[in-house]
Amino acid sequence: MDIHLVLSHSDGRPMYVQIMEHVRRRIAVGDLKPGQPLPSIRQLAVDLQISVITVKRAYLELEREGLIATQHGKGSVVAAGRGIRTRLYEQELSKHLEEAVRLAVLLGLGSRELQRRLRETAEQLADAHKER
Amino acid sequence: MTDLAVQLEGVCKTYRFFSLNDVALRIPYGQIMGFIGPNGAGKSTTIRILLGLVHQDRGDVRVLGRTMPAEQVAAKWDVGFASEDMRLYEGETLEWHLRFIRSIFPAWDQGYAATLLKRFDLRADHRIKGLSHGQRVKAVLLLVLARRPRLLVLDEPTTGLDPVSRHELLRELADVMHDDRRSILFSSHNTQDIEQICDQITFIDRGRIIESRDKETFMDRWRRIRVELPGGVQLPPLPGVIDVQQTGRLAVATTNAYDSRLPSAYEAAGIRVHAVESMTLEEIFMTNVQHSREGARA
Amino acid sequence: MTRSLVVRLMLKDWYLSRATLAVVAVVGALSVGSLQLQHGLTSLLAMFAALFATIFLGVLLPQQTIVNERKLQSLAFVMSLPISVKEYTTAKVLCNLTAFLALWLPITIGMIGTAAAAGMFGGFIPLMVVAALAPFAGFALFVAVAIVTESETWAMTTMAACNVSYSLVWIFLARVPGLLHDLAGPVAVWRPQLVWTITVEGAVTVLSFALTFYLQAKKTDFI
Repeated sequence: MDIHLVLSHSDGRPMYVQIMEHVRRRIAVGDLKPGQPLPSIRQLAVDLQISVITVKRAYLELEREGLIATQHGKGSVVAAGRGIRTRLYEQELSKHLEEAVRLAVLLGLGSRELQRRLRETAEQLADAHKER
Repeated sequence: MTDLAVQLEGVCKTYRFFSLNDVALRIPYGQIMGFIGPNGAGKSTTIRILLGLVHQDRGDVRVLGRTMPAEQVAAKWDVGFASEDMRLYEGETLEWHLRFIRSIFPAWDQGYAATLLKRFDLRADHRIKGLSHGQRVKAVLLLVLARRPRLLVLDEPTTGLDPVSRHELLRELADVMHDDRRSILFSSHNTQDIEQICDQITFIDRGRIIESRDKETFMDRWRRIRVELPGGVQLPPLPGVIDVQQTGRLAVATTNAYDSRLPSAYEAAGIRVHAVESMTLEEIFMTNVQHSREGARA
Repeated sequence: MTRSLVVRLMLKDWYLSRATLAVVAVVGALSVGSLQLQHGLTSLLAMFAALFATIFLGVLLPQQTIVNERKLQSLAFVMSLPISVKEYTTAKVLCNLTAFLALWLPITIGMIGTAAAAGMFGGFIPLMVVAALAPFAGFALFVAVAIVTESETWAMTTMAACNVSYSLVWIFLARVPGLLHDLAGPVAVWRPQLVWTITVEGAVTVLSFALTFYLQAKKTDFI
C-alpha cells in the first residue's frame, strides 16, 4: 500500500515528525482504517528515500501514542479500536492549548485574561459561521 | 558489535603535514553511514584505509568480516568503490567498460545495468572522452551499482552532479536498503542528502572523529535556543551549550547535548525562552567545525 | 574464476596499447625485410629503424600502461577491483615484458640472424647485440621506476639518463683499440669490453624487475 507522502526539506520539523503527522492525519480523516496494515519499515524507507532509522522512530513514536500496533515479525497495523480519531483531535487540541498558554506567558497575560480571549475568539468564529 | 559491515578501531596514520588520530568507525549491516567533514579532514584517507589501498600505521580495520589490508582481495569482491576523482579510460566507450566489469564480477546484473543506463540518461556507445563531468561520475556509479556489492563505499559521488542526477543516485541508494544485509558508506558535502538518507552520521575534522552516532540521536542533541534576557540578567554558562550569540537583550544559545531541562534551567534564571529550534545538518556542520577549531586554538 | 584477474588486466593493457604495438610491429617487419636486400645504405637505415622502433616500444609501452594509469587517474578504478598490490605489479610487469619480448625478440633475431647469414656483416654482430640489449635494459629500468615511483617526472628523468648513458657506452666502446677494425671484418670478435657491456645490460634488466617486486611489496600507501 502506498503512503503517498511528500516530504519537505524546508519544513522546519524533523522528518520523523512529518511522517507521524501524515499518518495521524490519514487516520483522522479515515483514509487509514483501524486494523489496516502499514508498509514495512524498510519498504517505506525505500519509497520515501529516507533512512530506515527515521521510519523506525516514526513508527515507534506512533506506537507509543497508541495509534499503531506492531506485531513482532509481522509488521505494523493501524491500531484497532474506536475513538482513535477522537484521540487524535484531542492530542492536537492539547498541543494548541499548551502553545496558547506559553504565548500568553510571554505576553504577560494571566490565566483569566487568557480565558477571556478564548471566549472572545469562540464567539467571533461562531458569528462568522452563522453569517455564512 | 561483532555483526558490523565495517569496523575501524584506533586507526592512526601519520603523514608529514597531516595525521589521522584514533579513528573509530562502525557500520552495522543494512545501514547507511554518512561521513562528513571539511575538505582535508581525512575522509578520503580513512576511506582508502578502509579499502586497503593505504596501510594504517596502527589500529584494526575489518570490512565484511575481513581484516584489512591483509585480506583486501577477498573483501573487494563484495565492495564497490566510487570516488569523485576516479577516472575511466578516455579512449574507450562506456560499453567497453561495462563488458570489462561484467567479465570480472559474476554478480553483475545486466538488466539492472540497462535500467540504470536509462535512468542516468547515458549511452553505452559513447566514448568516455566525450562525456561531461556529471556523465562520467554517473558512468562510474553505474559500473559500481550494477554489481550489487554488499558494501558500497562512495567518496563524494554527488559532487558535480545536477539536482536531477543527484536525486537519481539517491533513489538507487535508497533501493539498496531493500536488502538488510547491504550497507553503504557515503561521504558527501551535500548535507541535505546525508540528513535524508543516512542511518548513522560520522563527523570528522582534522584527522579526528568528532561525533559518530545514529542520525536521530545526533540531530536530537543539537538545538538552538532563542532567549530574551531581562535587563541586568546575564546568560549563565550551562553544560552542553557550546556557542552563544547575543545582540542586545536577545541571545541564541547553541547546544550539542540538548536536554529538555535546559530551557527550564534558563527559565529558572529568569530568562525567557522564546523558541527551541532543531538545526539542519549543515548548520550543525558549521558549528561543529567552528567549535572544534576554536577549541584547538584555545 | 575462469580467467584470473591478472590475465584480464594484461589483456586490457595490451588492448589499450594496440596502436603502439602495431606501429612497432610494422616498422620492425620492414626493417628486417629491408636488411634482406643487402644494400649498404638500406641496411644501415634498416638497423637505425629497428633500433628506433625498439627504443620507441620500450618507452611508449610503459608510458601508456603504467605512467598514464596514475596520471590519468584510472589507477583508483583498477585498484578498486579485487587484486592485491602484488597482483597489480605482476600484471603490469608481465604485460610489458611479454609485449616487449614479442616484438623485440623477432626484430633482434631477424636483424642479427640476417647479418650472420649474410656473412659480410659478421664483425658487426657483437655491436648489434650491445645495441639490441640497450633498449631492453632501458625498458626494464623505465618499467621499474614507473611502477615504483608512480611519478612521470622520475620516469622521464630515468629515460633521459638512459639516453645519456647510451652515448657514454658508444664513446667507451669507440675508444677500445681495434674495435673499429673488428667491425669491418667478417667474423664476430667478442672483446672483453663488449662482453662486459652486455653483462651489465643483462644485470640492469634482471635487477630492475627484481627490485620492482621487492619495493612494491614494501609500499604502505598505494593510492
